Amino acid sequence: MRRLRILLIPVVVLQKLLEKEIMTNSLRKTMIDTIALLLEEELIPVPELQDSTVLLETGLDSLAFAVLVVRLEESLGYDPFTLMTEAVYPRTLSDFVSIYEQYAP
Amino acid sequence: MHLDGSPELLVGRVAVIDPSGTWSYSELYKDPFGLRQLVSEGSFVALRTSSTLNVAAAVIALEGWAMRVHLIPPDVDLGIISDGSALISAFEQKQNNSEQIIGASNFATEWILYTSGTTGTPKPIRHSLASLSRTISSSKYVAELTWGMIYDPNRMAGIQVLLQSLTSLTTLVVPNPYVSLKDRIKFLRENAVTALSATPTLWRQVLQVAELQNWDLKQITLGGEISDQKILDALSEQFPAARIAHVFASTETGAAFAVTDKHAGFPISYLSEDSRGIRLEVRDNILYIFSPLVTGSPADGFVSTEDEVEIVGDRVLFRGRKSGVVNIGGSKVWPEEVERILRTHEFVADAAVLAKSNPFTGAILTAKVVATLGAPTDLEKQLRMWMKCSSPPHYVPATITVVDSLTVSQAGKVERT
Repeated sequence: MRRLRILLIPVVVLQKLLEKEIMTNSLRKTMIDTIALLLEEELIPVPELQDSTVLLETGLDSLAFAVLVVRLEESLGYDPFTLMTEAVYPRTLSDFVSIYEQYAP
Repeated sequence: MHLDGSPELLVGRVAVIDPSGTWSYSELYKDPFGLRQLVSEGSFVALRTSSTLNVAAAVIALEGWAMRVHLIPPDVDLGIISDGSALISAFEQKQNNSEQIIGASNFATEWILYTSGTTGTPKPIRHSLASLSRTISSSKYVAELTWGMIYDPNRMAGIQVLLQSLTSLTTLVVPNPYVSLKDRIKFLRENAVTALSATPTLWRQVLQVAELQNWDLKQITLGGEISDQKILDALSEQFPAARIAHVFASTETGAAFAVTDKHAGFPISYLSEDSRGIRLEVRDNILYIFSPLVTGSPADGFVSTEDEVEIVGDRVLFRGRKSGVVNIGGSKVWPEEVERILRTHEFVADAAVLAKSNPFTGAILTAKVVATLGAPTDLEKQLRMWMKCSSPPHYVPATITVVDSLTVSQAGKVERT
């Protein structure tokens, strides 16, 4: 009985990690898709978007960033930037994803 | 007055404080003209109703009789009827100016209207019957018109229609305000209305939803919002014989003038001549009106209307309210201007543009549009591309959403929320 319980703990932890991974992945996918669509609309060639990609270097200007945040709010249901107490400006794609992850409801 | 016979039309609630400070509540139902019995001379009155008949009764029975009358639309909650606090403060004010009540039969009743409150709490505006009647016409042409009422009777635009028809002793046709716009228009037509005043937003909806063939409208009035060229063109195409007047009225100064040449804005010549009894000037793109009697008016007598204008060729065009301007990454834009541009698209019947705060640019616009029949399914995407190609980048809304209808306030204006 005791042994079973010990075994159960890592399973739960694993499951939580997996859930988080899935959430991050789907969040990441939504964000990448939204960015790609926005770049297409701007008639900018869409680069391969990786964690280390610097967003401003893809051709997105501050106006496009603004548009991105509004669209993500429509698809995800929240805007992390309005929930923040201090201003944070994400540089890379992974910075951007982690902000959304952190404030996910 | 020709009323749609629904009972809700007749209901009104009245709170009264008489000169001795006693207050009472009543329901106006079967006999609105019995108001005179409910209100003793010199009283303070608050009337909450959506009934044009009740407002008409109040004007007839209480002018020169009540000290002050608050006209409160049903959607405005001021707590006046429920707790009487505003009436009490009004009463206290009267105590301080007790000389006002001497010779009471000669005084002008104060009429307090409430602004639509699109920008927060409704603001009381004090009027006299004289200031409310300023735009009433005594011409023979107007005296022969049958007016329809689709405005809220408590607000400036509605009261103007009511007073116009009371003054010219013509029939006023009042549909049930609680039925659809389509049914209200049907009621107006069936009762031979020949003159109608509405906001551009309401007119766009009328053109969209109502059966209009062979309606012999002689007078079309637009007011309360900017009239763009597209709505003027659409109305003159639908009603080729009608006189079309778009009215500019300034709450700040109480001044108003109408333009009847079926072109948006007004001729630049209005700035140099004052034959219309109104003197106008444009300073830093803001329209100023000469009204030296307005409280706090500057030494030269020109008061700001808070309306931004632009001179294009020989016209002065309205761009939007100064207070409504949105700063997007350092560039200014008026939501009204983006709405106007969206409406020029062939598949857009109407549009509402709202500002949203944004961490990267300070603010950003989003838009709701009503599509016309036959609009493509990917209209949202097409509109964004079309805006991108035709307008400065900060004019392009971040999202454009097609909706069935826009939210319209009780005053008939589009709500930017």
